[in-house]
Amino acid sequence: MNINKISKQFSSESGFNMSLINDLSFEIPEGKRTSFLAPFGSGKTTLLKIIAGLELASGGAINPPSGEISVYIPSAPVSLPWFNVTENFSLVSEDQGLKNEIIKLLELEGYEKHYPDNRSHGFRFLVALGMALLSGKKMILLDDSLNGLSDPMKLRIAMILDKIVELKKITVVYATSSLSDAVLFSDRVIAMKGNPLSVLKVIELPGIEKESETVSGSKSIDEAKKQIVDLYSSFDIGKVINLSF
Amino acid sequence: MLKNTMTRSEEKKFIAKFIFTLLFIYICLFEFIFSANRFLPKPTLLAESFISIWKDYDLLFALIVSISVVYISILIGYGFLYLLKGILCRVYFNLPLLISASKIFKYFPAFFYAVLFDYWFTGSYYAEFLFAFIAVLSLLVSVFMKEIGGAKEEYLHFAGCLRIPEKKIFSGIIWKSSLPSVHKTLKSLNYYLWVIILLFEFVADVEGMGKVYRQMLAYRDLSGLIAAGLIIAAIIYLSNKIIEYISSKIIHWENE
Repeated sequence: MNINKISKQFSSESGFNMSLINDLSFEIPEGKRTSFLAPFGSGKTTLLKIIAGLELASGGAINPPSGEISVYIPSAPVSLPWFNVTENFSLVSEDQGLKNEIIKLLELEGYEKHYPDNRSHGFRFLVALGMALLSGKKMILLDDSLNGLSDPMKLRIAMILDKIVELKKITVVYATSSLSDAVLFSDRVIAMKGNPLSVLKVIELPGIEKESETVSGSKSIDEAKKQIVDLYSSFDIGKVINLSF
Repeated sequence: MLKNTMTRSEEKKFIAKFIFTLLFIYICLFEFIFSANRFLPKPTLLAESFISIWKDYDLLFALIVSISVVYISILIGYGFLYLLKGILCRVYFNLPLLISASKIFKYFPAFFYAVLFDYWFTGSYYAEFLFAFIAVLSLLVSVFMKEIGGAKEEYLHFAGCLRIPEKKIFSGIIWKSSLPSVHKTLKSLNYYLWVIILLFEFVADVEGMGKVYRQMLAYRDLSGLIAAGLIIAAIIYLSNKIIEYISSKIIHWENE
C-alpha cells in the first residue's frame, strides 16, 4: 500500500488552522507486520483512521483505496460483551467452517460460548481480531490495541499474529508509543515524530524468536533497538515515547 | 468527602430497623396518644380497613383493572419498541429534524393528555389502555432515541469496517447497547405509569384504583385511603423486584 503525501489539517479552538499530518509518504509492504512508532498525541490514530477510510484526509492519496481492504481495531475493546464468541463471529460471517478455522487459529477452542467481559481485554481483543479475519479484509490496523495487557498475554498474541500473517497473508499495522511493543509486533518499524506527523526513519527488524515465556533478541535486534533509541534521543523526544525494553 | 461504606446486607438491616422504628412510633402516637386526629388513622382502624376495603370498594376488581392497564401497557409498549427498533434507527439517522420537532410534546403535562383522552373516548376501557400504551411507548421511544446517539462510536466504526449489514448493526449493536437504559426506564415507568393511570381513572371516573380513590375521598375514608396507598406501594415494590430480576437475566453483561 502506498501512502502518498497525506495531510490533515484542522481548526483549533482559537480558530487557527493546525497541521496534524503534512505530506506524509511511505509504503506498507503486503503480508508483513509494520509498526508506526510515534509519541503520544502525535496523530497516529488519525493516520490509522484515514488509512481505514474512517476519516477524510485534507490532501494526498492512498493506493489502493484503503477502506476497501482494511479493518481498524481501536485501543478500546470492540468485541460485543452481550454476545458470546460464536455470536460475535456470526455478525460478520455465517460460514461455520470459516468460523471454526478462525477459532482454531486464535486458540479459542473451548471458549466458543464464552462472553468477552470487560475485565479481559486480551480475550476481547482476540474476539475482535477473529471478527476482522472473518471479514476477509487483507489489512488489519491496530491502534495501540494491546496497550495495558500483561507481557505473557502480549507475547501470546504476538505469536498468534505471526501465525496469521504467515498462513493468511494478512498485513498487520500496529501504531504504538512503546518501543518494546513496536519490536514485538513487527518486522519493520516506521519511526515517526509529531507536530506535524512525519517519518524519521524506516528500520527493518530481523525476526525475533518468541518462546513461551521470553522474547530473545539476536545481536542485530539489539542494534535495531539502539538505533531507534539514539534516533529519538537525538530529536529530544525520548520523554514522550516509551523507550524501555 | 463522606463515603457510604455500608454493605448491602447492612443497608437492608438498617432499612428494616428504620421501618420498625417508624411503625413503633406510629403505633405509640396514634393508638394511644393522638387517637382522635385528622392526619393519620388509628393503627387498629387501619388494620380493619385492610380487610373491609376489599368489599366496600370492590377493590379486587379495581386492582385487576389498574394492574392490567399498567403491566399490559408496559409489555405491549416494550414489544412495540422491539419491533420498531429498525425503523426508529432509520428515522434517527435520516430525519434528525423530525426527532427535534417531536420533543415539543414532552412539555405538555400528563394531566392534559388524560383530559384529552377522556374527552375523545368518554368512559371507555380502551381509552385507558390506549392512553397508558401511548405513555409507555412515547417514553421508551424517547429513551431509545437518546441511546442511539449514545451508542459507542468505536463499536459503530468497527462494524462499518467489517461491512456488517445495517439490520444487524441496529439489532446487534444499537438495540443491545440501549437495553441497560431502556430497562432502567422500565423501573421508573413502573412508578410514573401508576401515577398517570391513577390520575386518568380519577379524572375520567372510569373503573380502577383511581376511581376507588375518588370514592374514598368523597366518603372522607382516611384509613381506606392509606390502606389502598400501602397496597399500591407493595405492588410497585414487588413488580420493581420482578423487573430487576428479568433485567439482570436479559442484560447479563452488566452483572459481570
